[in-house]
Amino acid sequence: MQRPASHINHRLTRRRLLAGSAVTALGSAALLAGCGDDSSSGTSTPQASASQAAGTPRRGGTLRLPTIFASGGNFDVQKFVPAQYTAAVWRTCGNGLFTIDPKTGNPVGDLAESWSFPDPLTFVAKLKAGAKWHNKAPVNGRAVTAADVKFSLERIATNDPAFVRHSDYDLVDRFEAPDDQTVRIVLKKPYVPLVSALANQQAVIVPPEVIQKFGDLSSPDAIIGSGPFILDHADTTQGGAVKRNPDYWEKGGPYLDGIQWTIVNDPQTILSGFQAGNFDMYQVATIDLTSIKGLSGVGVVHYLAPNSFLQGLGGPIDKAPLSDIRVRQAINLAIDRKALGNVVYPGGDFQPAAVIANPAWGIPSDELLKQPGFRQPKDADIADAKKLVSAAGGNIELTISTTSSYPSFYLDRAQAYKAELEAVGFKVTLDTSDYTSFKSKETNKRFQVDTLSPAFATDPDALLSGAFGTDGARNYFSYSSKDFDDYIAKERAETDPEKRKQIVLDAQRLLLKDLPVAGFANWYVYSDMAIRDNVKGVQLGGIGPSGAQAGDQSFQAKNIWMAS
Amino acid sequence: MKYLARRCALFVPTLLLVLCLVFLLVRLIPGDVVTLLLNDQNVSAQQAAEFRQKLGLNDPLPVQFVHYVADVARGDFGHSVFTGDSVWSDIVDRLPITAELALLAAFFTLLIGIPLGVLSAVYQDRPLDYGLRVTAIAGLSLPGFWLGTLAIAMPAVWWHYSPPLTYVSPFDNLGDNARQFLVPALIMSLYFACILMRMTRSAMLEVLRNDYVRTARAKGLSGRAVIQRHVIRNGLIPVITLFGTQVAVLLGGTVIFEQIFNLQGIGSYVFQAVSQRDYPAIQSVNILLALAVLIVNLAVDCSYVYLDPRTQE
Repeated sequence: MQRPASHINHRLTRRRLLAGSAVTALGSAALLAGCGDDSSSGTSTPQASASQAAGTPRRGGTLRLPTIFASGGNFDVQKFVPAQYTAAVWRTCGNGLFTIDPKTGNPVGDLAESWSFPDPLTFVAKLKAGAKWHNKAPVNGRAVTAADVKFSLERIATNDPAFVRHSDYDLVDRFEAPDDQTVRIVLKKPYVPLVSALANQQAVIVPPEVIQKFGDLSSPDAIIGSGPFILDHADTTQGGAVKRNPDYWEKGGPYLDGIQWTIVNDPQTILSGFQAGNFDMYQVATIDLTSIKGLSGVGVVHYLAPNSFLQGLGGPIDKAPLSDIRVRQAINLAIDRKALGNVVYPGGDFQPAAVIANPAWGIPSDELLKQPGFRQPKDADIADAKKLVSAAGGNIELTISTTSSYPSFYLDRAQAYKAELEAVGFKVTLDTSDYTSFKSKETNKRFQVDTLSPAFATDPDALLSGAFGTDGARNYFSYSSKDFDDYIAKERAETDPEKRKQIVLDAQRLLLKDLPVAGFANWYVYSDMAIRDNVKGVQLGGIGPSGAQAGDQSFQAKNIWMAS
Repeated sequence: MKYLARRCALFVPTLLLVLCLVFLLVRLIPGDVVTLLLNDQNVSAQQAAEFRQKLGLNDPLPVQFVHYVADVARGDFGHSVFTGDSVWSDIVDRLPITAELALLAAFFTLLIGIPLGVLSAVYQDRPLDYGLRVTAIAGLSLPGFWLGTLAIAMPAVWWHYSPPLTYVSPFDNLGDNARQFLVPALIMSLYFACILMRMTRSAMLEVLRNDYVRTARAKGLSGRAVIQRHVIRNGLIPVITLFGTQVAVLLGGTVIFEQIFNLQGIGSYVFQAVSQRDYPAIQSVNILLALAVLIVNLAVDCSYVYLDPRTQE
């Protein structure tokens, strides 16, 4: 799966038709990751990052970005699922305790100077000296303290569904601020993924005075942080802009005078806007690559974009016919992952994955390609699938729930599944509805099988525990396995990255044996970013624990600069 | 005046009926705002249920309906369930965009449709008539969303041009505002102008065959005077009626054109609200659109008084 960097950072001379833009855009809104600090990241695989040409950074210029405002509420980044743009504005104006290194995809200190687990139930972080809030009322440039961090984390962890990230802190007993520079988090049980949770886009540290003044963070006026940029203006209809924080406390940036986001309703309009020179960079959809090719002064960076989706065909296994393991095995054998990949990423650059599609954590493709259902050619698997269908009684009816909206490959994929399953003897019907109805059926387990694509935080713990843990909030499959639950408990307590990775891999191998999702079908995918030549310092393709989140430029806005 | 008052009084039951229908229909679609708000989050079913309770979504429908109508009667359109923002302020922010687009499109519809319809009738069965009729059929056949997409895509490819992508008020920069609105308004008006042109032609031809037109000509009036004084005015009555009904369709059409041309108006607002099951936003926008249609139709009825003085009786 891994490629040398020279094969990754290249320009328009290669016309690779890849998808993944939607995946990455959504993935950046998903979140979390990790294990330990930067030096102890959970990946042992080579990095596949790609960056713009080196040079001496200079000050000046405004970076212009389009953003799709497909969802998201107001500016209270700590509540609900923020729009890509809302989170980006906050991450440029604010800091978390941790951020994501876009080059590696690993969590690294943002406000945290150093951190450790002195014992399995205690996490301690020391804040960077000199960190201070924006020079605006009501904080007026005062120093950032551990009490501010404690206040923010307690707000994010509020036991209210509106604070959607609160479950990241379910295993936290309490937050403490023993002195101005020290944050201590006491856990109920060992929880190594905590660092990744603290690097989440939504885990922005805010001053208590702002909440006291505004009541919450929903107003753009409340966007006051300690970050390299200060809000100029923002709304939820047109977009917004930030400008350089002249009093930024950390060396090495920001270099840009500002960043400007324009909310655009339609992907075609983004493409036209880019062609017309209104934007400096954007994630190019596969179909649009040829349109970008003729533009002068524009490069396309081709990079591995890990995703944090659970993909495949599955449903509750406590109901017939999926309660029969032979039916699930037949589905697993019948699915042609290569053909499906071509449906989702036509002409694309991808390799099969199974459960987790981040090379830092997923089962390697070479191992997968020897597994039943993943082998090529498919002849033997299809013959075995037919026997299993027959042994399970034959005439098995399956209803595949899917959605015709957002994005279209849900439906395309469902049609491919239908054809493949009918080829081995299933009788398949499609149940198509709009996205909200589809998600409603999924959430309430009112479906037989569906074209799964729920997004998870980027740390493997989120997907494994959330979707397959006995008490997982999104265990739509009614899967319960003591062995699997033990794996979750072990990986949560394991601080050694390599040992943790092995536990995560073993957990996925167990899933491939038990098949709670009858047909796991995910892919390691490359994506493309169109960038004007004068935009420098952009890093893409970090595949560490938080790789999917690293694709968001707000994490690296401080380091981006523009050549004259 | 009495007529006007009676018509205005009829607004209330009409709006109530619209509200009732929208209220019920939007709730018949499976899935709700909570599903989307908590989408793909590690939130248990019980927590989601508690959240629904908090938002009042678990109340019986009649209770929800009565609460909403009472709020609207007080002028309170509620808050977006999705953003928490006041629906009224959301609408006020976006209304100028939709109003400008719809008014410009209506203006172009009249500007193109009526004169060409008159010309087509006057030059019946001559090359100009054939040309205009073919053009009208072509205009009806070409989907507006396709033309709109082309109008965005092709200038970007050929000339690296795109209209401004954020709203520019005409009071701030009239040129940029025109670049933003003229093309979508023109394309949006095309379909309606073609319908109006065909309707105008038919109505004019019917009037042209009347005895009083022949009499006017026999009296020695010039062709231009006959058309201006006797034909157009009488021929316009069914045309204006049609235009009144088309305004509702035209307002609905803003949804698509606002999406394509990145105009953050009422159309894109309601499109997003429907996708997100944001009930207060959907209901409020629909009431206002219904009110707009009622007012336009009232204006159309009033225009009969000018076009046909007999209606005063």
